[in-house]
Order: sequence, then C-alpha cells, then structure tokens
Amino acid sequence: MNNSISLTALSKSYQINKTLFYAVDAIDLTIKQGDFVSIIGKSGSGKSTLLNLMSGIDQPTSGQVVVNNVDISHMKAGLLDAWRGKNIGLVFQFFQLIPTLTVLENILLAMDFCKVIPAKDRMSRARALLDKVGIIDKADQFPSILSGGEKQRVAIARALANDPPIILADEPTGNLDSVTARAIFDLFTELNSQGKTIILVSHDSDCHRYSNQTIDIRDGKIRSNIKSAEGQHCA
Amino acid sequence: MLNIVPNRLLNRMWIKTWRDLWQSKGRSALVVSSIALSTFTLGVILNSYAILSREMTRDYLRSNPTAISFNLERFDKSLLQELKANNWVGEVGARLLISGEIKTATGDWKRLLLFVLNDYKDIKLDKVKSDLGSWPPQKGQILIERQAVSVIGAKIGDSLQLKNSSGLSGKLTMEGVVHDVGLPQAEWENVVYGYISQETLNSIGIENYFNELKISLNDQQLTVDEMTSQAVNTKRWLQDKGYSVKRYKVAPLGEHPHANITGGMFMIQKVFAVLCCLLSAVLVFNLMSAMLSKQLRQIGVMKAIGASNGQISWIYYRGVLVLGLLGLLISLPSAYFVGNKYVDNLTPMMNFDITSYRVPFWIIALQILLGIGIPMLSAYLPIKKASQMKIRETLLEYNGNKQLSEQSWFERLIFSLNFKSHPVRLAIRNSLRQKGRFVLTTGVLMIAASLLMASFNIASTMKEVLNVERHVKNWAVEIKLNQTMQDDKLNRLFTELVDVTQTESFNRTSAAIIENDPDEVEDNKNISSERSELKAHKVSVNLTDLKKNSTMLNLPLIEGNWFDANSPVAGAQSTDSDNSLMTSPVVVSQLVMDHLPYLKLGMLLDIEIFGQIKTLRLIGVVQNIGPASIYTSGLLNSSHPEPNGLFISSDKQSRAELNQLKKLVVKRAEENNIKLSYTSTAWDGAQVVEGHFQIIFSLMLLLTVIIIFIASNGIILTMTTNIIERTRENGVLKAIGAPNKELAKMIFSEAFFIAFLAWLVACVVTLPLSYGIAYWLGELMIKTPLGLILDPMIFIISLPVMILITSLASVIPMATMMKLPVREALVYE
Repeated sequence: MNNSISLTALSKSYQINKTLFYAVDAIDLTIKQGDFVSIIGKSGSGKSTLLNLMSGIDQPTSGQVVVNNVDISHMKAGLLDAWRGKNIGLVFQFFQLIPTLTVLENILLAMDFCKVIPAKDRMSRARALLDKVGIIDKADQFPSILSGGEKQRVAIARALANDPPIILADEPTGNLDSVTARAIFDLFTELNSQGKTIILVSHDSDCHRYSNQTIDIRDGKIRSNIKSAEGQHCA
Repeated sequence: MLNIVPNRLLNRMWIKTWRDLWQSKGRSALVVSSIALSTFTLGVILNSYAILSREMTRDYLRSNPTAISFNLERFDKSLLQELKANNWVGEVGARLLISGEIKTATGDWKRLLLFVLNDYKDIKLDKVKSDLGSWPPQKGQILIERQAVSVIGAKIGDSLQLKNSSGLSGKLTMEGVVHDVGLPQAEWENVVYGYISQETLNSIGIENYFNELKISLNDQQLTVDEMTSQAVNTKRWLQDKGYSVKRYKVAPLGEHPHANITGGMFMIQKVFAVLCCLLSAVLVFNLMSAMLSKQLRQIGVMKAIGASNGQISWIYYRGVLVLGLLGLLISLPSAYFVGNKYVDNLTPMMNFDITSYRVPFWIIALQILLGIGIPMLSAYLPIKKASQMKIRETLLEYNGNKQLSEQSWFERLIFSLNFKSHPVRLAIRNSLRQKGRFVLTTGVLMIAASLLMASFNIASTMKEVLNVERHVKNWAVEIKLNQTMQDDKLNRLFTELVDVTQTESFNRTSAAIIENDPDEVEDNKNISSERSELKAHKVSVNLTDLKKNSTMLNLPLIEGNWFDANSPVAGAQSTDSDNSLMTSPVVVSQLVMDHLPYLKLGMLLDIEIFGQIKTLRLIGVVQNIGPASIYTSGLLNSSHPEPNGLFISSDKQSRAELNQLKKLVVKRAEENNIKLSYTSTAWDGAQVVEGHFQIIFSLMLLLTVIIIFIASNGIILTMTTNIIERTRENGVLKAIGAPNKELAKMIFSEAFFIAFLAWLVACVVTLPLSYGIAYWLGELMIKTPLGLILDPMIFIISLPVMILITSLASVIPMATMMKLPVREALVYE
C-alpha cells in the first residue's frame, strides 16, 4: 500500500511569554493509504495541532509533511488551499457549516470552489452524498435547525464533496451524544471501507475501536502508535 | 426571506453574498443609503452644474454680449457707423442709460435704471427679449426686467411713477416684462430695470441721445489683455474725436456676469460632494470591517474546504457591488430629478432660461464609477486582510472580538480621569476595543460637528460684516444731489428735520486711477521710474471727497491710515498746477487693490478728476462693500467748493426708522426743488450683500445637514455593530445580575463618550476650517478676507446635538439586545 501521509521530524512551537512551547515535537509518522487512524490524547497534548499540520491549516516550525507524495510543508498559502480542497476532506468538532447556506448549498459550495466535479454533475452528487449520510430530507434546510448529529453528517458530506482520498476529522463526536457519536463513527468506518484514508482526533476512548491504528500523543510527542489487525473494527 | 432570490438563478457564492447582506440588512441599508446619498449629492451638484453652466453660457451668448463697453457723456448714431467701419469691430450698439427712481407698490421709491434702446426690433448686442406682454415698448409704456418685477411689486397694466433730477418725471404704464440676461440680479442689487422707447423719452421732455457704446469683436479668440489694449486704443480714438469717456469695461468672452457667485456656490457644493463620498467610503469601510470580523470563521471554513483568496474576496466584493448598485439605483434617477428641480429654482434667481436638461454622459459615468468604485476601494483593505488571514487564526483562535492585553496610552490617559463607575469604565473600554472603527466613526462625527460649527461661525461672520457695514457709517441717510449747492444752505435745509442730529456735506464724483499710460509717461517727465513700469489702463472709481476732520465714515482699515489732519503727508507731487493739492492723501477701498494689486502704501497715484490729473499719495486701504472707491479729505475744497452730497446723522438706528427718515429727507428736497440723483440709508449697502450671504449660508447649512445624516448613519452602524458583537458578553452581564438599566447606562455612556470626543476635536478643527472658509468667501464676494467671528452658542449647542445623535443611534440595537433572552445571548455566535 502507498504512503498516504508521511511526517518527518515534524515540530510546531509557539513563543509564550518568552518561553518556547512545543505543541508538536519532532514527530515521525507514516500513514498508509486506506488506513483508519485515531489520534488520541488529553487536551493540550498537541493532537489537533498535528492534524492541522497534516491538512496544511498550520505550517510547521520545522520538519516535513508529505501528503500523497506532495510536500505541503512549504507550499504557498493560495496553492495550499486549492490543493486541500481537492485532496483532503475536513470535519470539525463544531461542524463549521455556513449558516446562510442550506444543507445542499453547503455541499455545492465546496464543489464550486474546487471545480473538480463538473458543474452539471454537482447537484446530483450533492444529493447523493446527503443520501449517503442519511439526511437527504434536510437538503433544503438551513443548518441552524438541524441537530448536532445532522450537522455533523452534513459536514461529512461536505468533506466528501470533491471526493478527496483523505478525511481528517477533529473531534467529530466531541459535541454529540454517545448514540449519535457511534453513528458518526460508523459512517467513517463505511467511508474507510470504501478506500478513504480516515484520520480522526478524538477524546472518545471508544474511537480506537473503529480504527486500525491508534496514536497516543502527549506533550507533543507520540507516546504510542498501535496498529491493530484488520477485522478488529467494531461495526 | 433568506430565499428572496430564486436559488436556481444564482450560484452558491452569489447566494452567500446575498444572504450575508440580507442577514445584516439594517447595516446594509445604512450603507446603501450612504452610498445613495453621497452619489445623489454628487449627482445633483454635477447635473445642476453641467446644466447651469451650459445653459447660462448658451443663454448669455445668445444675447450676443458686448465685449467692450464705454460710458460716454453723449453720442449719436453717426459714431456707430464710424466704428463699424473698423475691421476689428463685429457689431456696435448704443443705448441711453438714465438713473432715477421709481415708485413701488408700497409707496417707496426704488432706484431705477432706465434703458432707451436705439432700435428694439434690431438689437445687435446685449439682446433683450420679451417675456410677457407688449413688445417693443410703445409710447407711454415701460417694460420691466422680469427679475425687477418683484422689486417693484407691480403688474402689467399698472401705472408707474418715475423721476430723476435730470427732468425725467411722469407716469408710464407697465405693459410688459422683458428678459435681459446680462444684468446683475435686480433683487440682490435692489434696483429696477426699465425699458422705454425714444418716443416715450421725448414725450417726457428728454431729447434723444446715447451714453452707452457697445462693441463686439470680430476676433473671438482675443485674451482679456488684448481686449483691454483694444479698449484703451478705442478710448483714445474717442477722446481724440472729442467724446468725453467716463469709463470703459471689458467683458471676457462668454463669461456671464454672475459667473463669480455661481462659481463660489459650485465650489462649496463640490467640496461637500467630495466630502460626502469620502464619508460614505468610511461607512463602507466600517461595515465591511464589521461584517468580515463576524465572517472570519466562515472564511476559515471556506479556505479549509478549498476556497482560494480570490474566490473568498470575490464573495465579499460582490456584496459591495450589490450595495453600490442598489445605492446607484436610488441615486441616479433621484439626482437627475432633484438636479433639474434645483436648476429650476436657481435659474429665476440667476435670470436665464433653460432650453435643455440634458446631462452629459460623463457625469452619469462618474456617479457609477464613484458609487461602485469608492465602496470597492474602501472594502479593499478589510477584504484583503480577512481573506489573507491564516485558517488557524480565523478558525481556531478568533472569537469575533479583539482581546485586550494591555492599555494603550490613550486609554491610560482617559482612565487617569479616575472614573468611579465600573459600568462607565467598561463602556469606555468597549468603545476603544475596535480602535480603527472608533477612530473612523468619531472622525466622521467630528467632521459633521466641525462643519456645523463652521456654518454658524460663517453666519456669525457674515452678520458681523453686515453690522460693520452699517456701523462704519456714522450717518443715517445719504443724499446725492444732481447739482452742487452752497454748503451752508444744504446743511441748514436738512439739519432742521426731526430726528436729524448732524449733517455734513461731501463731494462725490466718478474718477479714474491711471495705470501709467505710456503716452502720459512721455508727456509727463516728472513721473517716477517706479510708476513707469505699470500698465497703461484706467480704473474707474467713485471718489468721495470728505470734509477735513470728517467723522462720518469709520471704514475698517485693512492697512495704512485714515486721514489725520494734524500730520500732513509730505512729498506728493502733482501734475496739476494747483500747488495746494501737492501733499493730498488718498485712501482706497479693497476693490481698488484687487484691480491694481501692485499698489503699495506711500505710492503716488495719478487720478483723473473732473478731467484733470491729480497726483495723490496712497496712505491707506479700507474695507468697503460696494464699487471700487477712493476717499480724499478736503481735496476739492478750493477747485469745487460747493458740495453735491450730504450725510445726515440721526439717533435712530433701525431699518424702519431710517427708511422713515429717508422719506422725510426726500420730501424736504422736493419741497425745496432740490433734484436728488439718489438717496440711501445706512442699511441699503448691507442689503445687497445680505442676499448673497444668505444664499451661501443656506447652502452650507443644507450640505452640512446631509453630512450630519451620513455621519448619523455611521454612528448607527458603529453602535449596532458594537452591541451585536458584544451580545454574548452582555448575556454574561445579564447572567451575573446586571439589570437592563445598567446595560442601557453602559451603552449610552459609550455613545456619550464618542459624541464628546468628536465634539472636543471638532471645537479645534472648526477654527482653521471656519477661518479658511471665511477667508475664501471674503475674497470671492468682497475681495477681502472676512475676519472670522466665532459663534459661541454653536459650540455649546453642538455638544447636546452630537450626544442626541449618538444616543438615538444606540436605541434600536440596545432595545434588541435587551429583548434577547440570556440563554440565547450566551450561545450567540
């Protein structure tokens, strides 16, 4: 299997009151295409920063981030945004939907930006994605009237809009009840089974049960990186 | 309502743009109204300017205006034929101008300028056309210039009584109204223009002759200097032929006599229009900054899902474009409509006719360019800043409100005042949170306040000018006789009148300051080399020769001295044989200095008086509203011992009292068979400029109100944005027990703080601003800077006005915030 993401000596530091603080400290990590990776750790451990570095949302202080054979560590901001739209689907803890667009329009907007999907196919694809995540009946609703789980489904559908090979999710269930959280994990599992590389950051201790690789981060360093055998997923 | 535009017609980016604007529709409406108002103001000004300047020139040129005119003692038709034979002469015209008085509907006598044209059916120059009633004037008829109809208060068919000291007397029937585009405004000049035929002139006992010679030039490209040179040559030619030339005038081709005042009005309007555009740009800048600060997280999300900076920028530029277009949709037609109405209102005052309301395309293009371009430019920085922010900053760290870390020097200064109330401290700190927004909003309000103060300071200055104009005259009524009269007899006659406290005679005549004519330089070997550098023209002036030690005039000195009998000026020379005049001083009005800017105190001036050249030394320059004037003291005592005018003093002061006294004076003159060429009260001179000042002040005030409206929009926008941004914080304050009363106190404190600061800075800024406007207006209108007089009341009143504006601006957002339940306020994003 090809490497999907490769991190080499990756560090991210901040200057806080004249003290250098390392959010990510010299991490080396390889994630294969089709992996389902969960990154766990306590609040402030550096797991979200690590995810942001993988997506190019944040730039490393040192080290290298290679995604699908593209070094994004020093890519210009404008190019990076366009690249991200095509290659990475992002899911956030607080859903981050555009409140003035309907559910359907939120999905279409992502396609409009990247222009990967031909314009004539966008509407049908958006509807298919909403159907896939189970909220096609909410297509014309505004996000404000959806439940948390529904919002996160929309966010996942939006992440899939341009058919990126990698989905990065930051605390996707952090704002959801356990039943809804399980449904969202199931959705990620299904996507993974369809070939998507899934990397999710979570507090949820159960999340490792869905992934085939669990990385425990503490103080910006990888404390453990456990790969489980295929078929251990709890469906 | 979010789906007001069908989605299928728009792509998602347009939909987002539209809904963002719709969601903050209150603020969007404010910006649309500001864009609309600024482009509307600009449109009205440019439209009216284009129409008025084009039509004024067109109407004026249609009258075939005179290029050079001469006032001669008298001449006949034969002179016209002689002049016409010159190849440089285009057309020649002649008319007789008689000054006199005409009785108004109210029984007052008004100054009359009566024109008798050579041939009404074939007027070559300065054409007069019929506006109403009979044309041309028949025997026994008088036609009145249309602007003068309101001055005289008469209507067609009325019998009008007229008189003058040269024998003009009798009643004529007003049979028509005419339009003479080249005359100064009758209402402003407080004069009646009448037109009669030569037959009528004969019937009232005056023989036919002309005294105004008019010439147009074949070469339309001559400069004013070249035209002046031609006029000087012609004047010599006329003098050689034995004609007595009183004065000549050169009119720049196509320049309407009112061009000066209209130019001044348009200058004020243009400055205000530019200001309106700038202020609306500030509003758009503030709106975009506020909108984008609320949109930063969404911008981060859009970037995270692949939007480029260009795509994000374009979403927001579309918003600005929509606001600009909406503004233009309102302003373009309304500016056209109101511009035309404005033109309709101005044209009667300026006395010309409009034949076309066509607005040049460039004006519409400019409005569109500014209506869209200014908002786009003002949105450039906030959009660029927001679109270039890093995702992490927008998505993960930004929470909509700037976090305070330490106090700025300004805050430390403010808080050194030791405010006891914590809500007030919080309110002040809140207003300073968004420093850029605070500075711009306070700045806009400050500009509005400064202009308001400046308008009233200018009004106060104008009032003082009029007051000075009244009080520089220690006389109540002035009479000018058509003949000279023995001094004692003249004084005695009017001293006996009721209310008269003192009389003093004077001698007034027209004179001309010689601008060192080269011929005269050759003829006169005594003229100094200093003066030989000067140009060869004559400037016509009114000479008033006062009594020695006269106290009747107290004109404000601009430089030099007034007459002092105890210190005779030495060293003056004369070309006149009368040695008694050798050291005579002369004081000139500022208008003389405007015509002859090279004049300096101590300089010797050659002045033509009663056909003789007298050399006088310039000792002072005074401010005097009215024609170019010079004053001497006892200059003509020996050569013309009998005066032709009288100053009459009285304890009475009001206009009504002086008018009453004037009637008594006129009656006394009639009883004693004294022909008066004119009488005026001390208020009459001021009345002419009062109208001009009133127009300028009204215009300034109107434009200031527009600026205040835009500034009010700005403050509403800022207060709304400030309150909305702090919805969650206010929710927290409510949650910890703050009553609505305390929240209202905080918000009003913030409004008060902004208003107070704006007012404080405006009090300083308005000083140079008012001074500059006063200087410019003075130069424009009376050829000397006006001394600024501040209006203390406006400094006091403008503070509560500013506080009222900011407080009213806070009411709606405050009420909305108060109604919001704590639960909703706490989760507000």
